[in-house]
Amino acid sequence: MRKLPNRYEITPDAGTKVNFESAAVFARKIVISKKPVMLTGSHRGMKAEVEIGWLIVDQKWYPA
Amino acid sequence: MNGTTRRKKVYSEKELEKVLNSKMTPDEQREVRLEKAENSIEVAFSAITELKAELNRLYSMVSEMQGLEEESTFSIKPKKVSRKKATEIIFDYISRNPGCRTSEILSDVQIDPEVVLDILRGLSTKGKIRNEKIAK
Repeated sequence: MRKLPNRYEITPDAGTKVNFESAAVFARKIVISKKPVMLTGSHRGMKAEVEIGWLIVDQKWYPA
Repeated sequence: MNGTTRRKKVYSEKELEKVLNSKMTPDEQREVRLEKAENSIEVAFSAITELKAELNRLYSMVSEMQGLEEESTFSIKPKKVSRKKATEIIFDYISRNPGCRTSEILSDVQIDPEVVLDILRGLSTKGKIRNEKIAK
């Protein structure tokens, strides 16, 4: 059954860059490379190549 | 002898052994050979036992890894619970772990992620839970 469009679930086109403060990737395959890579001109980080999965932008939950 | 000095022959170890063996009686020679054979057999046996131990160790490692793989691929089955029960589980989880992240809830409750996310949104709109953006 085809899923209805949902504002909380997107399948962006290839080449889309997704920015986040904190996120978690759930995927079939995750290969982490600890070699420093350039995030921006002045920020360095690491790289994870992932296959078949999805990413969730995290948020904190509290009881009201 | 003709005014020339005769050179002393230098024996190699093998040659020396040959010479020594030649002085032995045939029985003594047989005994030495037997001893040598026994020694080499002992060495071979010890090598075999070492190899067997190594093989067993490798077998256990492989089986352990296979077990882990099986666990990782088959043991995680999403719980089949009713929506009401799932809501209770998620609310209980958040009450017990205030400040938990969405990804933590998803990985810990082991319920279909789509259902979990939907329930979280529902609880949030009802005002039972509140969310906070993670910022530096």
